[in-house]
Amino acid sequence: MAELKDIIRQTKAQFCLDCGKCTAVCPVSRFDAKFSPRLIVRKALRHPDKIYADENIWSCIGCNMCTVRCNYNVSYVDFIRYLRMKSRENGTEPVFSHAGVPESFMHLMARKETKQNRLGWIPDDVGIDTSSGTAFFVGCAPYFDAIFQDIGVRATDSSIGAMRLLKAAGISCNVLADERCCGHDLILSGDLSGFLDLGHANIEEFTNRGIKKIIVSCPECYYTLKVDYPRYFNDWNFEVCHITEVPEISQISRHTDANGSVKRKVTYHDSCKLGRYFKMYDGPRNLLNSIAGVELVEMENNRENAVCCGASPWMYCGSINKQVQDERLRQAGSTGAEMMVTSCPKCQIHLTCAQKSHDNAAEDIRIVDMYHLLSQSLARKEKD
Amino acid sequence: MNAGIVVFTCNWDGWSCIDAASSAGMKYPASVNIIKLTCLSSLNAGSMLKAFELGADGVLLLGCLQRQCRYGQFSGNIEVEITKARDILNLLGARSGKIKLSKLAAFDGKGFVEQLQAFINELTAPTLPVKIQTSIEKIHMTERKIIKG
Repeated sequence: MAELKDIIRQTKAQFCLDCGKCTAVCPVSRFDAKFSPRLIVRKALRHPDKIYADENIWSCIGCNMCTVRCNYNVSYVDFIRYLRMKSRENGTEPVFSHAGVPESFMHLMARKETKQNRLGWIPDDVGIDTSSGTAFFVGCAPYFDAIFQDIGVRATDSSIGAMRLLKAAGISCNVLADERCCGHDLILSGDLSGFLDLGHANIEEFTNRGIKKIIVSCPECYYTLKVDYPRYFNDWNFEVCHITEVPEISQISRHTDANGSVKRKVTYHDSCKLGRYFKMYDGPRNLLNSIAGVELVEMENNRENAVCCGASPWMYCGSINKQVQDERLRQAGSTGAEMMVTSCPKCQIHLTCAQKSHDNAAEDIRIVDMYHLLSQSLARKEKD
Repeated sequence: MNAGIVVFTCNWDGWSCIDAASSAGMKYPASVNIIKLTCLSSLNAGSMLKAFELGADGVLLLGCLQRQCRYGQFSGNIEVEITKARDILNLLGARSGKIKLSKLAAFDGKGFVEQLQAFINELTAPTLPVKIQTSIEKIHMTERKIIKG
């Protein structure tokens, strides 16, 4: 693993001026006075031997708000990710939420001998083309279905929606029987070896099935395949593209413009990865606007100022995270919208969990997945 | 070779069965690891999956009979957690392990050893060696192709 001084150079941490802009915008710092991105950098530079035992390195939710604001573009999330890797190397065990189920199934999935049975959720009308060189990357959606059945979120609805959109756009894709989790949550929680195992298994599967291009709908999978895989794997030579970037998708949705009689107010929640990391703000909004009868209203904080859904790599989800989620729900509620649309299955899970766990300002708003909504409007159009 | 088994048992009737078995000098394989909890309702899917992650082939849950729970009304929590863990194992494929729930009356040492042995037999017996299994799968595949062609 790289040395601390290399990481300081890579993440530009030496440019941190201690100005405090990162702390001012950080959603965690707002509720947790002990946490601050700049303080972590300062502690790491002054006392590199003590920083790995500091519990504050586990509070970051990786929303990238700090880097967007930073005048020198210091990549705090990457810096903290490195500190976590080192800390785990030294034997620290983070506290996992959901009883550690996500972490365990990711490790079990990474095993070479694992032969998964993960395509049962695909409905008959959405065919898969096993000879295609293009793959639709599903990620952990079927596994999330198994864990989050009690809060009523079906993550595979998002994947089914995305596949229906691709089918309507005339793009035939394969869905791989032994695709693994992308490893986003493992690497963000500092588990580098788990991430590498998943990555190698995925590359082997893509190569064996003759895949050249990968279409992704989950923003975190997209970030990992697009940014982290080329960084960590020399043999990565696949084209990765997000579903909203596929030109045919925006064309099919334009056809659904026709008869808009029912007005529905919806608000769009920018996921951190699609928003602040890739600056894809307009693509999803244009798609939503193209649904007949949809009126898109913005929340108080939107686009690069959007508040994160509050919990990232399935760990340390506590009262601070709930406060961040409550703030986001309050913003959604005050728009008066009927639905809050997310483009990330994890945002949907986290926000629904917060909504169901206690009373808050937005108990009536429905938290809906974007691809599911888009595919439903498609189905209605076909019936007409 | 014996299958690696983790037994999660409650502090009451479940534990009394194991206690009775050992007092009576009954034998069971050394590959069985026993973890005692206050009540099975405090167990979650994460701990079951962690056992498989650490190399177990099977997880046996030992609890009190429905109306015997010392903590009042039986919550049904364990059934929910078992469903979650089984769903995950199902997605991970057939070779990823099995979970069994058994509820025994207090001090049934014989019942515990029998249940355990039956579970071990279930885990070890039916699996064919990997090579034979894959060649059988290949035969099935070619048969299907011939029928289709």
